[in-house]
Amino acid sequence: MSEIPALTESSYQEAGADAALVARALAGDSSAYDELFRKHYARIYNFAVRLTGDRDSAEDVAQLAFIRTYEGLGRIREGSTLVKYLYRVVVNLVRDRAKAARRKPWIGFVDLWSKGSDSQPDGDEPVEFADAGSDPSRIVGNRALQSAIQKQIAQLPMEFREAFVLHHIEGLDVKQIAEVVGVPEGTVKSRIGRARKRLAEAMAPWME
Amino acid sequence: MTSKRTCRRVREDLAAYREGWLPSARAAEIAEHLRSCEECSRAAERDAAIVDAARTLPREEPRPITWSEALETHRPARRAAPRPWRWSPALAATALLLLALWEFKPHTAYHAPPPPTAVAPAQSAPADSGTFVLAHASLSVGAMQGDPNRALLMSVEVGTATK
Repeated sequence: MSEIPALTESSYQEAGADAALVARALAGDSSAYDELFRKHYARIYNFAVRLTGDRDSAEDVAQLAFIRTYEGLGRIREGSTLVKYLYRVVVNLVRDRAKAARRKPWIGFVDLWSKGSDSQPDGDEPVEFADAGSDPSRIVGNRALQSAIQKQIAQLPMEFREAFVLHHIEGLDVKQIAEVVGVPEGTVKSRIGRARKRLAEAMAPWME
Repeated sequence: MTSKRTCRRVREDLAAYREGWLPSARAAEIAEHLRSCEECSRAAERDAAIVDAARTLPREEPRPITWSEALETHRPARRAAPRPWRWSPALAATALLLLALWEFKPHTAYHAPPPPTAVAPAQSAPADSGTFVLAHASLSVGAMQGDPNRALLMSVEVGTATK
């Protein structure tokens, strides 16, 4: 497993390369969108995993996001990167699925980590830490803590989850998140703050 | 002097404080509070640890798939023909409603009997049209009384009488 590189300024420098590929795809070059898919699929899939908490749903959502983006390729405005557009489509797809799951609770999202992945803890019991002590910095690197945090992120309300994941995992700034989720910047800040407060409260038993 | 209310407000603003989103006066208040409140100071450490852990979360490796495979997987489903069974509850409800309206509509309207139709005498019918009409009328009366034998008898009697 590798760490997810944040969507930093250098990543945005790639936006120019993406724009050229988008132009080629619009001109009918079928290999251009194939290249964009290869380049961004893992990132979009990971974003979908964080939002849905389920690998199968995330696969479905990520692939559908690429298809919808392909269908709307001509609508990608200048200055708006392809990746931001993909994030927006993922957010909308996951919201739609969450609404559908509320209407049909028997097909709700399955908890990713209750499926028994070897690196993830099962159940709701707090994870036991070896020699964690009381210093949080000593357990940050612990994979058990990370899996516990993943689980707690998946339980945040959707709007808090979107803001937290886009900011702290995907590396978008507040302005970019506001564009992706379609709310004012102040609302984004408030959602990030509330998500962090909830996570801190939920994680307290793991970190005391 | 710290109170529970102060601590609660500090924790609500903790993320914004650490991100540098607060006005300087409020940021100074929180900095001062954190120096004197051990609980809130620990909450700030927890917040920092959570953010650091989130930034370094392990990446999930997706199953390998190409663009054309993804397209193939989803295209048929997205372009499938509309499923009429989805409408079946609505159709059934409409049909029941129409049936109910038909069954319970008031039958008070007067229905005039159908106009009499001219009946052409058959080849074997008696030449006398009056006899023909009487025979058929008696058959009808018998049928109305639910007795076919009586109807037949009446028609015979009428036929005999007219000879």
